Amino acid sequence: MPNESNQDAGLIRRGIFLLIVVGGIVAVVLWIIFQRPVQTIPTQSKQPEPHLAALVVHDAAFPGAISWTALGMVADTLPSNAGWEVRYNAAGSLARLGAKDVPWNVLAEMLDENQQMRNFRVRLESGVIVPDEAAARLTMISALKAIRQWHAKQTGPMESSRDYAVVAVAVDRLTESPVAEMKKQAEETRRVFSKR
Amino acid sequence: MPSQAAPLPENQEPPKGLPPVQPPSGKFILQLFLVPGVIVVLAVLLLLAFRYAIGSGYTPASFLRQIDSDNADIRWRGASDLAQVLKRPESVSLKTDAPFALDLAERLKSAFDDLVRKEADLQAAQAGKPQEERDAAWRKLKAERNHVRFLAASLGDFLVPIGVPVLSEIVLHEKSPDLQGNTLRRRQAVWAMGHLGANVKEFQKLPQERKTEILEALDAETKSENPRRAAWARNALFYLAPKDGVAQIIDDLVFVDRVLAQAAKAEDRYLREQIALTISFWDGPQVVPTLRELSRDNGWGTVVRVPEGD
Repeated sequence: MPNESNQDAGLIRRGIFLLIVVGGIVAVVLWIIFQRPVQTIPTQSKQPEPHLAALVVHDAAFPGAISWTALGMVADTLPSNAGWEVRYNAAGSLARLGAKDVPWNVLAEMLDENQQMRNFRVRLESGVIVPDEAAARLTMISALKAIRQWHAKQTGPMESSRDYAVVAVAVDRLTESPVAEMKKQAEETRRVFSKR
Repeated sequence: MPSQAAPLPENQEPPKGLPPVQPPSGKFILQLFLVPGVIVVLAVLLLLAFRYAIGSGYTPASFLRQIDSDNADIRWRGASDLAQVLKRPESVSLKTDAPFALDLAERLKSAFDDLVRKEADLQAAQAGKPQEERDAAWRKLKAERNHVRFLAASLGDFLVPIGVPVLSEIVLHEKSPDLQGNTLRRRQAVWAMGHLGANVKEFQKLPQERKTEILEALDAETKSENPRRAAWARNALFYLAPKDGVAQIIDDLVFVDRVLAQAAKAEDRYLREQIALTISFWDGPQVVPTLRELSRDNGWGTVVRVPEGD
């Protein structure tokens, strides 16, 4: 009899141990299933409206009627001039075709990360307007690829315009990007600059 | 696992504890795996047979039958199915079927002409009526509008640019009483032309034998008794196998670069944005000048918002 009760006690101990192990496994699996990646919400875009409102100084005559400080700040918050979507596509297409007079100034603008964050904006459900980082970076990467394709089709002397130099500087800057894909694309593009 | 107790001698109690265990027989193991295996294989075969039966229904004749149906809903659903099937990589034979593309182009042309006429008639008939009544009348044309949209999208997926003349007509159709519907149609037609341009480059990657077959089929169509069909075939041949001087001697050719250059003057900013991308898939003297013009675009005109699902 004592032998049987010993056996029972062992069985219970093993059962409890097994229950704890299975419980642990279930907990880990549930944690993996229900763990959602935390989405980082981009910081709210700077809104141009307050700066625009502050532009006009009442009760003052020109040039005092304009707040020149606010004017400078407005420039840092506004998106590109209307039609930038059309210009960007056209500039990218011209570069991909290897055309002679590519609008380098447009491509340089496409590589300006701050400008793209201002151009591509989305309104969240909460009403907050934030930069559409994916769309902005996609535009920049497509510009980098277009520049490489333009280089691949060139056989003549190297381009020497000022805007082209601005593009080269913008590409250089992007090689320091913390975004791995952007950095990789910028480095590849810089290599074609240095080959010529 | 089967277990069998050993036979007990008479007048003897069974020993305590579990009965002795015998190893499973080969037959049992076979039954354990073979029977479920056979069931699974049969189920898979049944599924494959079903998929084959469904897949083999996607023939040019079956699509044309649906598109020619008297029922407007069956017509546009057939066009919608075709647009989806053509996007599949295994549909190469369908995408390179020049006579089929011509059949579809003819149907698109007549469907588009019908729609334009019906829209004009409807506008005249509904003049002065309350807005709700007019909206209800416009909704009746939804099946026709969808039919044209899906047929246009389908023609853009072919590797033979048969659809160029009809799609060009849609792209250049500016005046319509249905502003949103026409805007959407033009945008989709521009997109389809972009696809066609990319597909012309894909055509060059086909095996030489297949290319020859397609070009011969197109050549045969240029001798068709139907002048429109012959002209469209000539147009496709011009882009697939360009010959020097052909453009000068054939006066009914439709040049994509000219069409898109003209459409790039449209008020719809989104249309211009699309053209700035799609025109680069085509060759022609108007391509680079149009792109230069668009690279200086100042955002004039307007953007027509077309609600989702409209």
